[in-house]
Amino acid sequence: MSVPSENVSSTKVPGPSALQLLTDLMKRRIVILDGAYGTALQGYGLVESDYRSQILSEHPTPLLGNHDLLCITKPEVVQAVHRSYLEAGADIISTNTFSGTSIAQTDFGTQALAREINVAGARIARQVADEFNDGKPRFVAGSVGPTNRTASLSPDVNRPGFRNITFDELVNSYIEAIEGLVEGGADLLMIETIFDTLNAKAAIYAALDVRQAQGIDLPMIISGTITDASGRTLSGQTCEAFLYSIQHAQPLAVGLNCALGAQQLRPYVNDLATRCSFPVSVHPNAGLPNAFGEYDETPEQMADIVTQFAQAGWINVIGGCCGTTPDHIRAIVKAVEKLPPRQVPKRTNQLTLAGLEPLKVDDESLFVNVGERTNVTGSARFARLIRENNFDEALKVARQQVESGAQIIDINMDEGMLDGEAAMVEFLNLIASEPDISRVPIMLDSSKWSIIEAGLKIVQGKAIVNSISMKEGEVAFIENAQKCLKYGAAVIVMAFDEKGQADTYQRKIEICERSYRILTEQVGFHPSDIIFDANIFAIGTGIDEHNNYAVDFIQAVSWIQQNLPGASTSGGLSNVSFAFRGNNPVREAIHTVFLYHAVQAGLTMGIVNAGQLGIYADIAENLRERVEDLVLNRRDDATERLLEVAQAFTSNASSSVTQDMSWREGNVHSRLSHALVKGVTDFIVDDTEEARLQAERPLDVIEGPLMDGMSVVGDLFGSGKMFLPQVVKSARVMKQAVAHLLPFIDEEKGLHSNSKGKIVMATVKGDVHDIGKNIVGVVLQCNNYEIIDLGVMVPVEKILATALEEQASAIGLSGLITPSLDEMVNVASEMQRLDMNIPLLIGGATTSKAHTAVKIEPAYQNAATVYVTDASRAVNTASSLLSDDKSYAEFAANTRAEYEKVRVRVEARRSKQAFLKLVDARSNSVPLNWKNYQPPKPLNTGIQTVTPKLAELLPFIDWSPFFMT
Amino acid sequence: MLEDEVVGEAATQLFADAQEMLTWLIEDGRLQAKGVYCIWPCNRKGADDLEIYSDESRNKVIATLHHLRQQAPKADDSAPNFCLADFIAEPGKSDYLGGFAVTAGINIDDILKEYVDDDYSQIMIKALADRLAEAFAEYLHLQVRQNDWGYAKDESLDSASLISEQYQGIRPAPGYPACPEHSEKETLFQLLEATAKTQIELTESYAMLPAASVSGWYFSHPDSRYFGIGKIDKEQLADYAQRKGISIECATGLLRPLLAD
Repeated sequence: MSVPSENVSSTKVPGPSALQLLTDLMKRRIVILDGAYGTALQGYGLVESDYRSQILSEHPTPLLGNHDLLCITKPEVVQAVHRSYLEAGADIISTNTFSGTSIAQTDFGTQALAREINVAGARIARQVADEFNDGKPRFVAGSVGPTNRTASLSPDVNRPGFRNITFDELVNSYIEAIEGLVEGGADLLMIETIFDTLNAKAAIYAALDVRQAQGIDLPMIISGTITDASGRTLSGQTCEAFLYSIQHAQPLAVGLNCALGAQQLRPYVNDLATRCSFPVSVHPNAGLPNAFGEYDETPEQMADIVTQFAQAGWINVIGGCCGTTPDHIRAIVKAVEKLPPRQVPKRTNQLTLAGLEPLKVDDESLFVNVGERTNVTGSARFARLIRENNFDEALKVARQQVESGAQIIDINMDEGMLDGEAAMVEFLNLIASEPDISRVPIMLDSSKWSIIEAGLKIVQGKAIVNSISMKEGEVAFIENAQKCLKYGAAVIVMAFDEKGQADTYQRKIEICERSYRILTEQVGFHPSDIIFDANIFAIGTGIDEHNNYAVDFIQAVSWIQQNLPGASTSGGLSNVSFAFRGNNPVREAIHTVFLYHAVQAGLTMGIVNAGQLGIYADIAENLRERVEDLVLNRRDDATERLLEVAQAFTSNASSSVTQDMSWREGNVHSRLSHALVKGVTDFIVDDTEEARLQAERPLDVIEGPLMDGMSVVGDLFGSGKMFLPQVVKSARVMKQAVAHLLPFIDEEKGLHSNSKGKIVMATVKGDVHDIGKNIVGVVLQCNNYEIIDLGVMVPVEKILATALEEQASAIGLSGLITPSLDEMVNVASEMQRLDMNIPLLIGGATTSKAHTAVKIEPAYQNAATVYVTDASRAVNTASSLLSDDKSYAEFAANTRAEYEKVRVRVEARRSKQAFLKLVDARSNSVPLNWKNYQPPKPLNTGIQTVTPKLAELLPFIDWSPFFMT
Repeated sequence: MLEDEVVGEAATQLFADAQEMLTWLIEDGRLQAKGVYCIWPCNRKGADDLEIYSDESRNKVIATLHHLRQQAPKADDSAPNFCLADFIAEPGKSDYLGGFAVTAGINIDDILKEYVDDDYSQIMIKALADRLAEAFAEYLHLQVRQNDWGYAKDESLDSASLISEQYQGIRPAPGYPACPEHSEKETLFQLLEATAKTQIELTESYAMLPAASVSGWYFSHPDSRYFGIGKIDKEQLADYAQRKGISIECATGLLRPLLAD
C-alpha cells in the first residue's frame, strides 16, 4: 500500500491539537475505539520465528505469544490489524503495546526492549493512521497495560505485608514506556484493563511526569476492569471508588473494559455514567467466553446492547476488547452514528474520597468521623504496639475504629524511637489486605513529608494528606501541594504560615484565604479537595488568652464555609479538652458540646475517637451548662466553675463499643465456620482445639467443619458476595487452624508416611497467572499434601520429568488465558504417551468442566482427569483421589461417567441439535439439596376465600405495565 | 418515566387521570375483588408431575398436575433444564403446594355500560381493574407467605422490592412461560372450587372471565425461580399426552405455540 505523497496529516504533532480535536469530537458525537488484537494476531498463525528478529535470534527462552514484540519483529502484521480497524470506522486505534513495559516483558526476558517496543508500536500505528487522508482525523492511543504485578495485593498468602512490586518501580517502568509512545507519535494514552488502582496511579504519575518534562498535553483515557460478580476490581475497589482514585489525572475519558461483555457491564456503565464528570468510555469483550475460550457474541448482538447504552445517554467513547473483530466495530459504528453522545455533567463541589469503597461529603452530609486511635502521638498504647512490631494488635485498633463508625482513619507514625517511614509502609501494606479496614479512606498524618509520600505510594484509594501548610513559606507549600495532586490525594491545609500558627480568628481566615487562592489558582486544585484545619487549641487551661480559642475556631469554620466555596473544614477534637486529661467523662462532654456547635457552624469532619463520642442531649444538665460556658466563652469564671463539678465525674469508665460477639455463642462447628468466612483469627486456635477434643481424629476437624467453612467461602466468592482479599484472609485462618492440628496429626501417624501425597503444580507454558494456584497450594499444604510448585510458564517436559523424578501422586495444572487450554490438552496427551498413571487436576479461570470433559479427559485414559472449581474444592478432590484405592476407583468412575454425560450434551449442542432427549433433560434437573431441607408446613390448610376492599390493594399496585398499556 | 423528556408530560397527565378514576371506582363501590386460595400436601411424581393429596396421610391423590421441562441444550454447563416439579420434594419428605385465583373485575360490565361512548374511560377502567387484580395477587401472596403458610414472617419488603420479586417462593400462573399449558387451569379451578367461590369462569380456551383475574400456584422453596420452557419436541409432546391421558392431536392443540416448526 503506497503512502500518498501529500502527507498533510503526517505533520500532525501529538499534543494540543489532538486534545482539542478529541474534546470537540466527543461533544459532537460518540467516538469509536478499535477492537481486539490478540484474536486477530492469532489468526495469522504466527510461529516462534516470527517473534524473533535478528536481535532476538539468540534469545534463550521461547517468545511465542509475546505479541508486543511483533511491533519490532513483524510490524506489517500489526499494521494490517490497525488498518482493518480504521477501515471498519475506528477513530482511535490503540498501539500493540499492552504488555510493553519492562516489568511485563520480564517474564519473557525481553525487558531491555521495552522502550523500543513502545516507540515502534506508536510509530507503526501512526504510519497507518496517516494513510487515511479523508479529512476525518485518526488518533493513535498508546496502550498502557497494568503489568502482571499488583502493587496493593501480596502475591504470598502467608505474608500479607509483602509486595513483589513497588510504586516507584512501576513509575520508572511506565515512564520508559510512555516516553517511547510519545516519541513514536502517540496522540494520547490509553491506561487500561486496570485491576489494581495503585498500578494505575503509578501510570498516571509517570504520565504527568512526562507531560511536565516535555511540556505536552498528553491526554489520557483511563479504563478499569470489573473482574467478578462482586462488581469490583481485582484489588477490591468498587467502580465509584476507582473513579475517585484516578480523577486527578483530569482524564480525557474514564471507563471500563475487558473481563465482561457489554450486557454484564451494563450496571457499571450506568453507575459510571451517572457519576462521572468526565466523558465515559467503554470497550467490553464480545460477551463471556464459552467453555472453549471462544467468544460467541456476534457483531449484531454486541451492537444491539451498545445501542441501548447510547440511547440511555451513557457513552462518549465505545470500542471492543477481547473477542471483538473489525465486524464488531463496523456494526457498532453503524448502530451509534446517529445517536447523541452523553452529556458530561460538571464536577460538583462534593468532596470525593475512596478506600475500597467511596466516601462522598457535601452540604447534605452529616459530620464525618475520622478515627484517631491509630496515631502514635495520640495513643500511648498504639505507640507501644508499633514499637514492639505487634502489627496484629495494631491492626485491631484500626478495625475497632472502623467498626465503631469511623468513616476515615488517621494514621500517624511520628515518634522519635521509630523509623516512621518503615512503620507507615508496613502498616499500610497490612491494612491493604484487611478489606474491613481498607474499605474506608486513609488520612496520612505526619509532620515529615517523606513519611506522607511513602504512604501515598501504598494507598490504592484516594487519601487525605494531613497536612501541608505555609509554615516553611509559599514555595515549599506549592511544591508539596503539587505532589499531592500528582498522587491524587485531597489535602488538609493547616492554618499555619511563616509567622506561626494562627491562634486568632483574624489570622485563621487570612491564612486560609491565602492558601485557597494559591491552591486553586496556581497549583490547580479543585476546591473540593481542599480541607482547612483552622487549629483547635486547648481551652480551660487557666490562661485567659486561651478562653476564646474554641469560639475563634468555630467562627473561622463558619467564615470558610461562606467564603471559600467548595472547601471543607476539619479539626483534631481531643486538643480542645487537653486541659482535663485524666478526666474522661468531662473530656467527652467538652468534645460533644464543642462538636455540636462546630457542626452547626458547618464543620465537615473531625479527628475523633469514634468510640467515645457522647450525645449532646444526654449530658447531665449542670455539666453541660458549665461546659458550654467554657466552650462559648460566656463567662470569665467558666474554667473555675467547671473544675468545681469535674471531680464528681471522674469515676465512670468511658463508654466503649464492643464488637458483636454473639457468634461466640454458637457450637464449635458454627464458630469455626464464622471464623473462616469472616477471616477472624482471634479465637481460631481455641476453637480448633475444642473441635479436636470432640472429634475422633484430628484430621476429621480438617475434613469436616474446616472444609465445610471453606466450601461456604467458595460459594460466596463464586456468587460475588466475597471478593479476593477476603478469600485470602480466610485462607490464613485455615492455615492457623491446621497448624494447630498438625502436631496432633503427626503424633497419630504410626507407620504411615509423612504426607498424604506429593502433588506437582504448575501454571502451563505461555501463562503467567498464579494467584489461584498459590492459594490452592497453601490450602493443600495445610491439609498435609506435599506440594512441588514449579511456578509459571512451565513447559510440559519439565512438569512430567519432575513428576516422574519425585514419584508424585498427582499433577495439578493452572491457567488463566485461553491458549493455556490447548497446552493442557498437550500435557494430558503427553502423559498418555509416556504411559503415566497418576491423576491430573485442572484448574484456573479459563478452565471449565465442559472443556475438561470434552478436550482434556479424552486425551488421557490411564487415570482420572478432574476439573477443580477452586481452592475450597481442591482438598476434597485430592482426598478422593489420593487417600486409598477404593475411593479413587469410585471417584474416578463417577467422574468419567459424569464427563461422558457432559460430552453428550455438548455434542448435542455442537451438532445443532435443538433438543436434548427427554431423559437427558430430566437428568439435568435443578440440583436442590433435599437432604438438609425441611419444606415449611402451612399453618392454615383448607380452601380460604378473601374479599379485600379495593383500597387495601392500592399499596401493591405496580404502575409500570400501566404505562406500557 | 414521569421525568422522561419525551413522554413525561403525557405520562403525568395519564397518571393523574388514573388516580382520579381509581378514587371514583372505590367510592362508587360496585367494582369488587374476590379471591380463593389453598395449600395442599404435595409431592413430586416421576420427573415432571406433582400429586396433590387429600390430607396429611398422603394416601389419597385428589389431583395430578402435569408440567413441562426445558429441552434446549444449555450453553452454560452448570445451568439446569428447569421444570416446576423440581421445586417439590419426592415422596418421603412432606412438601406442599399452594394455589390461588383472584379477581378484581366483579361487576365491571355494569360500570363499563355507562361509558359506552367514551373509549378513553373504558380502556382506563379495564386497565385499572387489571392493575388491581395483579395487586390483589401480590397482596395475597404476601399474606400467604407471612400468615397462612407462615414461612416468611420476618419478611419486610417495600413495594419496589415486591415488584422486583425479592421474596422467597414464586407464584407461576398457568399460561405463563414456566407452565405454558393453559388447560392445567382447569385442575387448579377444580381444586379451589374457584368458580363457585369467586365467580371467575373459564372459557373453552381456558381464559378467565372477568379478564381482570389472576390465578396460579404457590411454590415455597427458597431456590424456586421463574424461567421459560421455550420450545419442546415431539418426544415431550407424546410423553405429555400420555401423562395427561389425552390424544396426541389434543395435546398438539394445547401445546402448539411451544412446538418447534
